[in-house]
Amino acid sequence: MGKSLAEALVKFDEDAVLGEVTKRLDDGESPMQIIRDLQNGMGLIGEHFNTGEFFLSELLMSADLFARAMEILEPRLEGTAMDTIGRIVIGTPKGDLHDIGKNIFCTVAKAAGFEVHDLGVDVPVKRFVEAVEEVKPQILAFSALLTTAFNSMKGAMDLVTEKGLRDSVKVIVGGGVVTETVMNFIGADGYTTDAMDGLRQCQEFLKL
Amino acid sequence: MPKETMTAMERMEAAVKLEPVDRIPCAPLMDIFFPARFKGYTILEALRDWKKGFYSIVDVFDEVGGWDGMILPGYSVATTPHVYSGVSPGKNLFPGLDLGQDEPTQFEEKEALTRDDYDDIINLGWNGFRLKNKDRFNPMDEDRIVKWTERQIGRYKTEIEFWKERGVRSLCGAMTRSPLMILSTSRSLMEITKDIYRIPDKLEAVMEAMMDDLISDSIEAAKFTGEPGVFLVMERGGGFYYPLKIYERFEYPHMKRMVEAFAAEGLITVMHLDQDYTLNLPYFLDLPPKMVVAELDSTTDIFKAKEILNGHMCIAGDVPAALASLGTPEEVEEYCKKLIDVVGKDGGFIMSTGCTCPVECKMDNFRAMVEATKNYWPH
Ligand code: B12
Repeated sequence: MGKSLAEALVKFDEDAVLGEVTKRLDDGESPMQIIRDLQNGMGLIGEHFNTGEFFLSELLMSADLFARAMEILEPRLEGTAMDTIGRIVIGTPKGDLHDIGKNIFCTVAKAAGFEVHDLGVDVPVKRFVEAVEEVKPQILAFSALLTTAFNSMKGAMDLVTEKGLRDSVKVIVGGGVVTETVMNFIGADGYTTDAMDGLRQCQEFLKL
Repeated sequence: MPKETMTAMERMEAAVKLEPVDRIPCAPLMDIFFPARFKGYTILEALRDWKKGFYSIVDVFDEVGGWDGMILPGYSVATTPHVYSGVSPGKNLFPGLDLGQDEPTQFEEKEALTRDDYDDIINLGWNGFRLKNKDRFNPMDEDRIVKWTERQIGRYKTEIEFWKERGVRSLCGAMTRSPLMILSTSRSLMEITKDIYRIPDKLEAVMEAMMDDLISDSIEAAKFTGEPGVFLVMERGGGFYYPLKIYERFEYPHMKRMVEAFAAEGLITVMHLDQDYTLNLPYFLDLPPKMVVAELDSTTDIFKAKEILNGHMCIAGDVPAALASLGTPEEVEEYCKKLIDVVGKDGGFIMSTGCTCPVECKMDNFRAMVEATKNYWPH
């Protein structure tokens, strides 16, 4: 049963995925078990993506379906905390309003079991630092598509350091304009232009 | 410094036609954002006032001792003088209105077109569809829209002529986008991707219905401005996003038909390829030889592009936005020299900024790119 849900997700078969989620809920199954099956499906998609068999479009289609299934499932969790493997605080920094890339990463990170705190776009420097203090994430993540975001990210990093929080988090920056130069400029621990590669890096960070 | 035996115009022409050059030509893609910063204007000031905006580019040109060509002349948009030219679905956020006065424009990616619009596009064509939906996408009255389009193309022509007087060629007399690029930005990346998988036949019909208008408008604009080249924007169709099966159906056939139609009119095509097109490069060998410039933004492997396209089409690019913004002049120089060494071998290469010269670019980095190109010629 679980296998078929994962498979339907890999094929991004909308009717099969949403149909089975609803049916299993109606049968009284625990939402957490269904979520685990969906997460397994996303794991398979990740593998296909990493081998080059799947492209961003396939990732987009299944991530969208995963997110929609979660909309049905999350309200049914009724207070039971989801099992998570770690916390990520993420946002697009001040000066940049792009969010498609960020949203894709948020979904794949959630699907991999991360608790994701998404601060949105055009996020002021201070807000990142407040969120790190509140949420105490293992990972702080930035998404940037414009060079105007570079200074905001550096500002946020400087403030994180000033507050003595730098050693408590690993920092990753992603987005179309990001390179090693950008990572070094802001003093992050990793960079990527690929959501799945970013996820892999975040999983590695947890092992450290 | 290599001994120059060609004029800038000759050098640009030779690069496009894959003929020998005395050194690599430099033709940055540049909007007014970086030049405005250089002049100390806010982005709003430079956008509002055409003279201020355009002449800031000229001032950057003078500051670094000039270069050989412009991919686009700089400030204005190559429209045609029709109402529909001023009607385009999708919203830009503007400094002073939606953004701070000194922030570059940003595009708001929303679902401006819906699936319900598809039948109308199929029945009316792209221009007919835009006309019918004029009030939805641009509520200004018709007279004002037409005045705007006429002013844009008039200025575009003036800019081209200004550069010509300075001995500088602008490669493109018109601008257009592939159907996939238009629909991806006006439906949104997510929604167009769903259309591709869920309603492929319908989507194909929509794209087909857009083609004639896109082609004839570009030819009309290029004839009006007198510059025999079309800037064809494709930023949402490459291997970064889609498997080749999808590329072969939803981007490649349109790109090929557009390029061929332009070539039949004697127009070259500068393909503005943003995001990684490395996987798609072999397809470009089917395009008419010496009539296309593949302009890359640094995400496509430009060295691979040289390997595959050498002798078939000119390559332009690709100083990365991040390097121009955060690197040192030495790093930029080193990068450009490597481009000249490898991609510049046997000519067929134009040094340019990847996608555009970013607003945060440092003047010394920009100068390093121009000077490396003028002074370094190992071949
Ligand atoms: C399509 C495109 C456009 C389209 C629409 C874009 C939009 N919705 O805003 C249009 C034509 C409107 C456009 C306009 C402009 N653009 Co543009 N555009 C692009 C392009 C080609 C792709 C962007 C895109 O849609 N990506 C799709 C998403 C899904 O990819 P992504 O965001 O990279 O996300 C992926 C990964 O990066 C990752 N990811 C993202 N965030 C994160 C975060 C973490 C933590 C992790 C782990 C992973 C991760 O996950 C995603 C999936 O793998 C990029 C090129 C590039 N190299 O990115 C330029 C680019 C963003 N544009 C650029 C520019 C300059 C502009 C303009 C200013 C040009 C102009 N002169 O007017 C304008 C206005 C700015 C704007 N974008 O609004 C520059 C920005 C650099 C700069 N100078 O600041 C770029 C980088 C091109 C370049 N090489 O210079 N653009």
